[in-house]
Amino acid sequence: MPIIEVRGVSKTYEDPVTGRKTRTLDNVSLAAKENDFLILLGPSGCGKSTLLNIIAGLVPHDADGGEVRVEGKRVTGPNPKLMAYMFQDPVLYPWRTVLRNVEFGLEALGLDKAQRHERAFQYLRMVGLEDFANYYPRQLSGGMAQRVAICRSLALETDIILMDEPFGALDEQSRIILGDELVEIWRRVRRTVVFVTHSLTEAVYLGERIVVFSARPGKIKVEIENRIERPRRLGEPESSRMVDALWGHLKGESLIAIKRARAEEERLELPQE
Amino acid sequence: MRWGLVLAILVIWEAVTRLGSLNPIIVAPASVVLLQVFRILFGDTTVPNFYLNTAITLGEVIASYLITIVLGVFLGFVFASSKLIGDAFEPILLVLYAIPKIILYPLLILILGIGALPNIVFGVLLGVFVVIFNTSAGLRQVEPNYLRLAHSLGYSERAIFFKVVLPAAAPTIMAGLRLGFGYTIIGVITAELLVVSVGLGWLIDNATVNYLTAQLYALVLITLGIGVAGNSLFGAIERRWVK
Amino acid sequence: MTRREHQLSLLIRASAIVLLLVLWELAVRLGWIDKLFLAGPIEAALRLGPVASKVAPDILATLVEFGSAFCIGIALSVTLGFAINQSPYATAVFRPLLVLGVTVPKVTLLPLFLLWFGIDKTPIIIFGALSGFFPMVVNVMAAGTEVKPNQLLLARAMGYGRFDILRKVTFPAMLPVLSSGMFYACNAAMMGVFIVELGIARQGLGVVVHGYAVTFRTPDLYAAVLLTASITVAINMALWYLARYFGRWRR
Repeated sequence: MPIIEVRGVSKTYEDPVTGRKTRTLDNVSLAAKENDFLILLGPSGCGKSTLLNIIAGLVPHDADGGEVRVEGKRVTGPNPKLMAYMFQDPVLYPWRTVLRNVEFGLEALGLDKAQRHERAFQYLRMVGLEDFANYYPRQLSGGMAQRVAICRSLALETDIILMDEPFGALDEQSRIILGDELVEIWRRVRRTVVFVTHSLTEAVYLGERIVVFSARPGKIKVEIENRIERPRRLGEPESSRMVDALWGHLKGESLIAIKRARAEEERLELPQE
Repeated sequence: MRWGLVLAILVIWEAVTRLGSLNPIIVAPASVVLLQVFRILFGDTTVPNFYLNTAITLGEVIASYLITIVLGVFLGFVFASSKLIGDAFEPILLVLYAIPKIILYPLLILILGIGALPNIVFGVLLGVFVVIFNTSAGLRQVEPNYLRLAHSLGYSERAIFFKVVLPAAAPTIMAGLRLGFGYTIIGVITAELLVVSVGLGWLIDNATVNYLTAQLYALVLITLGIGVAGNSLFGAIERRWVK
Repeated sequence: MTRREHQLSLLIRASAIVLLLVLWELAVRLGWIDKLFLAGPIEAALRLGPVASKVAPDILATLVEFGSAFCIGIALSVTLGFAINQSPYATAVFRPLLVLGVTVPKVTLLPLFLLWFGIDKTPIIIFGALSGFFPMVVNVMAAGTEVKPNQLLLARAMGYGRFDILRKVTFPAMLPVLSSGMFYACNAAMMGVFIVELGIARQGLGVVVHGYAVTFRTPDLYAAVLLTASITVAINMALWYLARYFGRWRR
């Protein structure tokens, strides 16, 4: 049985100010098996992040017959015992040290102080940050901060980790290094990872299965299995071919997305001072 | 919505005073008070020299504010220009700010006597700190990248100051001037009410000791109104200027 | 800042203060200003002890009044500010009124206050609370923006309930701004308390100062002012350092 099942899920977003309805996801179905490294790939605005939020239980999908099941149970809200969620922004609480940030999720799980401390340190060692345990977030670089965020998600020891463009704000070298580390950890701890990205190379470098989305309203265009052997290398011919194939599917959708962004000019109106 | 709130307050005020059994010396009904406001503004002779006294108060405010601006901006510049001097005097300034200046007021009266002068000085005491803080902060916190760019383009220090530093610091400085204005008004009016000699403070005191309740309420409203008007005017000027 | 710079600025500060004190003392000794109006720092300092012991009950009275005014003002402003923060509509409606309330000369209402509440501790405490209320409530509303939506979302994703999120995320995020707001509110509340005391009260530091002033007991007056200033500055600076402490995880 797949560990994550999405069946016929749609999402319509209604603007609270203008009342305009936008369909961001259209009848999406997919499944992730255990220990999968599933990539959600698509142009901006195609709803891939929205789908991730729906799977995480942070956002409800339209009540029109679609459903999301995780480990067989319907998703009704966030379930930190099953799923850990990561943003593009590391979201480290600036008033907590690195260690206390990693412990943040553990407090909700009901572990006592000693247990939290031990587990946090265990995972800090796994990502190589045990020496920075008492640093404050403002003292960390972007890559290190994101590494702490990864550590925090891992420490929850959930079966599933959901990641929304976690390396998006980093420089390329950090992206590659962290990507390698992530894959290394994934193979070691055997968890299911769902990873959202708009980068073709990242998708091919990291993923086992790649789901390609169309432009908004997001539908699934194609699902591709990535059987390239690990450890994968940058620029090897197999990877390049796959990137090319993906671009073939994605190019048209990306052009639509870009044109649409310029034409619609949706801008948030900030409240008056 | 806001006006609805104001209207609601007026209605409740009127109702409570008319229907309740409150001492008429303590509260006057809204309608009577509003009537008084109009009468005062249009030359009611029971209020001795309303416009003269208002002018005196306004004069004090303006004088006080001018001094505040000049002193505040000047000191702000001084503290911003030299890191050493700024750091040296910052704690002193902070401690001075921490003293509730009102406690110095009797000293002011003692030294300067009763009249407009202590009121003006007190206004300055209240308003100057905000202006100093904002001016020095605004000047010190110009984006380093702005300065780097200007340097790379070969501008002289003097040119950089006028073309980059000043415009970049302007919004913060203006905010300081606006707040300073508000505090100066508070200072002047507080001083006037505390040791009464001339101006609106005197008019209010006059109404108080003669138990002219409606007139008292009316004068209080007018004074509040002036305070609000002054601040709003300033806000409008600031918005126009700092585009 | 290097050690040298630090020492240098300490030196400048100390010399400036010393210079001021010397000038002050000279002004009195050399008769630049009439002794009736100005007492020298040495004389004032000497009178500090006797004055302090004599007005101890007044010091207590003022502290009690201020304490009550401050607590009431803070309690009201934090609850109200927090409540308003929950609704963007309420924020839009009330914020301009509250900001206005800060710069409006509330002292204008003082005659009315005395009419309503009589001449007792009550108007002192209420006016002090009112003076501290407005700056604090505006501050609480500003502090509300300190919490970033992502920080709340993360906590939700971790399965925390509303109360836990308030405790673990919202409150710590707001704390630095709140504590610096307390410093300003404290200052404002003190002003409020003293304004009323100077005017009408029977007991309290304000009364003492006023009394010395009208009887031209100049050295005692300066001593009393010095005493009051020291106490108030001590309280304010304590809050200032508290605010610095709570803000230490920021830049």
